[in-house]
Amino acid sequence: MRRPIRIGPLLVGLLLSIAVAVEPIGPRAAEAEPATKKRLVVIVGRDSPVTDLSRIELNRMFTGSVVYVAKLRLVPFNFPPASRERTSFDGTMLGMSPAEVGRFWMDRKIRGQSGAPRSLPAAYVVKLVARLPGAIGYVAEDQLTPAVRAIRVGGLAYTDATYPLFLQ
Amino acid sequence: MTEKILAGLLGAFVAGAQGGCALDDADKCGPHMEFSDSQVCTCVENAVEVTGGCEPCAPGDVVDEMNQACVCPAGQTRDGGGTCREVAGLGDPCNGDDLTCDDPLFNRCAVAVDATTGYCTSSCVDDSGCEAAYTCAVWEDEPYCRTFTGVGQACESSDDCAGNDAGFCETLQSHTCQIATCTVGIDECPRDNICCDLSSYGLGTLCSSPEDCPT
Amino acid sequence: MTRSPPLALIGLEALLASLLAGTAAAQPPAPLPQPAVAPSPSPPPPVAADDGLDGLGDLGLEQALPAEDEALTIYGFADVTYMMYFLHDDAAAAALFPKENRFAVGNLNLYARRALSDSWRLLAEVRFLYAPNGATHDDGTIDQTSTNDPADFDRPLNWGGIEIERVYIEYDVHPRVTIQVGSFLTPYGIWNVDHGSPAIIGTSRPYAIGEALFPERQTGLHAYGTLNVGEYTVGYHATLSNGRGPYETFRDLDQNKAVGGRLTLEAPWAGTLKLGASAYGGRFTDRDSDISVIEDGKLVNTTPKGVSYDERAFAADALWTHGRFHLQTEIITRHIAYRNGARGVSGFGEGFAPDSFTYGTYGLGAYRFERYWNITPFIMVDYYRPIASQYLDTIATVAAGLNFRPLPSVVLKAMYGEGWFPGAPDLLADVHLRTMVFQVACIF
Repeated sequence: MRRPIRIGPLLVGLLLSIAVAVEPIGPRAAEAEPATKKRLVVIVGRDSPVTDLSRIELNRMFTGSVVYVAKLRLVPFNFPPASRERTSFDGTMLGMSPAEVGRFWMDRKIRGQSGAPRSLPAAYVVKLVARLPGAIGYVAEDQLTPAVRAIRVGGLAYTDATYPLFLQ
Repeated sequence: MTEKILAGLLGAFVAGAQGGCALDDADKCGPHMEFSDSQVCTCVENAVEVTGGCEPCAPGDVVDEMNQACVCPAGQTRDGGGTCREVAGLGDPCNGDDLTCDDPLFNRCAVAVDATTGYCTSSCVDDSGCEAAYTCAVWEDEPYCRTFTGVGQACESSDDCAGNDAGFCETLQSHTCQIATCTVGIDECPRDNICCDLSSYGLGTLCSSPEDCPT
Repeated sequence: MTRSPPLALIGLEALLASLLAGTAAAQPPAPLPQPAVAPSPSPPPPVAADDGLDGLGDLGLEQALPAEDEALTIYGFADVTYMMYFLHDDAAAAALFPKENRFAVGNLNLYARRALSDSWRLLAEVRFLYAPNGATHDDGTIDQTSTNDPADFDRPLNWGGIEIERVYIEYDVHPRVTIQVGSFLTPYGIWNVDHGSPAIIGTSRPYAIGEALFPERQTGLHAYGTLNVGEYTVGYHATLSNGRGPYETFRDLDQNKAVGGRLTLEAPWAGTLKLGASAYGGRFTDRDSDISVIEDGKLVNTTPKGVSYDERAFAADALWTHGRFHLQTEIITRHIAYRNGARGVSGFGEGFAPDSFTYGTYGLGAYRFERYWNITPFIMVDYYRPIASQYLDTIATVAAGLNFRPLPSVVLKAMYGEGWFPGAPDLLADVHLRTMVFQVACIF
């Protein structure tokens, strides 16, 4: 008996071939960098006990895990999804593109898990972090005010030459 | 310390997960059961199906396969203490010639078609007039209490059921001898059973309990 | 009989091999090289706090700074599927499975979530169903649920039902301990937690998962938490529930509580590796009724024993992600031991069901590209050993497909699958069930 032609695997194979032909598989080429770039500074209120957070702690906090420092629950705030600050922070700290971040939070919703940290308009980030205990956010270094304090990231101050967070 | 705890938990996990693998046939069924070739639990000899399992019949009882009940063998009845006792005259061999049924109650000689000898039995109006191992053959012109031989006997083909009233081997599920010579509506079947039309399943007519008979 | 792998499997194996070779050097997006930076200025002197933030209410916040937005959040997901079956009309399988190609609305699930405070949260999920309309029975009959629509001149209307997927309240007792009470998805493996069609890669869950060797959900208490140790995260779950039963969400017919647990480890090994081990033990009881009768002027409990068995289930799972490469696998086992006098009928027309050991496993591999809507080819293999019977020994499936995500909230899938029954005698020996499924799923 003649076996039926299996359209499904043929279609899959054809699409895969096209995808592989046009999609480079490997590390993404680094983008051209300007000579100097603004740093993205992680900030807390001046009275916050937080002075240093590791990259993994920041990653966990901004991907839905709860982080406590000295019994104080840290509450993260994000920039709006399409902002430079947000895409820079997510790309460096979370290792995710905007599309990947969107998928990540959508899938967490379906699992019944917590949603993304609340997003604030840029103008309010510093003001809110300064006002509310436990709040933590990030801003470009030229947006720093005396009302907030920058913390170290993985032991590195934002003034250090090897500080990892930059505005892309 | 942490490593020891984790190692202990892992060991318990693996042992627990694999514990179920050691499940041989003897472990798969409950008391008075055995694991059959059909991959199900069936009652052992002289035990009957009850809700939730099998119950052994009392010594001296036999199994009524059609109704899954413990009954006294043909020719016996249960006395006040529940023990099966011979009933004088009932079941005595007869042939309508030199072997006669002399008991005033069990004065009928039931001889099967193509048989030369039968057994002494009584006339009846319905099943209540017969011992538990007997069925009142109300479809006969002169009803009498009769037995059905071979019902529930294990078989591989109908050759294994030859010579019995249950002359058909049902090989689709139970692999047992069943009565296939009945007529729907007349119900020439053991008590509490009816003649069931299973022709759509390729089985013709079979005696079956009413709840197992497709409507 | 030796069986050659399907063409799709051979082709995908070769392709995945080439992908693996290419991705051996691929890493997750590396941080961009740090440019030369000018020394930053010294911090500005402090100034009077006049932040211009007149009202936190402008932002929907209160002084107490709730950790989550406390507004009631309503969201959900839905999917529509087109299924094609490749069966000859005279094939035995044609009598056992649906024959017609069809569109179907699969899921319409609605969530309600609210952070009642920093520490208290509520989640409820319901699924709206067209069932029981269209439910089929062993004798081939199909149910039709019809009523008159009083808002439309009593014209006929087919009605469906609602399934409560889960509803619980949870409380953070401690930074490492959260307790849920209510009806929750059993925390085992990967697939049961992912749960919804937009979050899973294929169009359907593996057969072994669908057989619910662990109960899909439980009603009771669930405690869970995590412990971070450097870059490692250790997680735990512990459950106490009514166990499995026909009315498990509101009755425990045997008053025998089921216990379960899970341990997880997340490690930054060659990307991210998540390992898990789960266990469950409980008693299932089903009976027709609760009966009390009056005998000699007294109330006598004559409740039947019904069908009852003790069960133990174990599972192990692994999820490995490395850049855009995704690999996951689970293995699940279940042992059932019927209690004396409470053994169920076999379902094959004779005898009783035996004690049994069943197991299932699957493997899923996928790779997400950045182009063409994040096209993700995937392949899944599945093996399941059910309760032994004279008709069936094992079930094996292999599937391959594509997953597209044009938006984070929209998922398109196409999956070709083939299932067969290795070792089955007679009726199912040469049966191959082939399907092609297209699905659109979205989160709203």
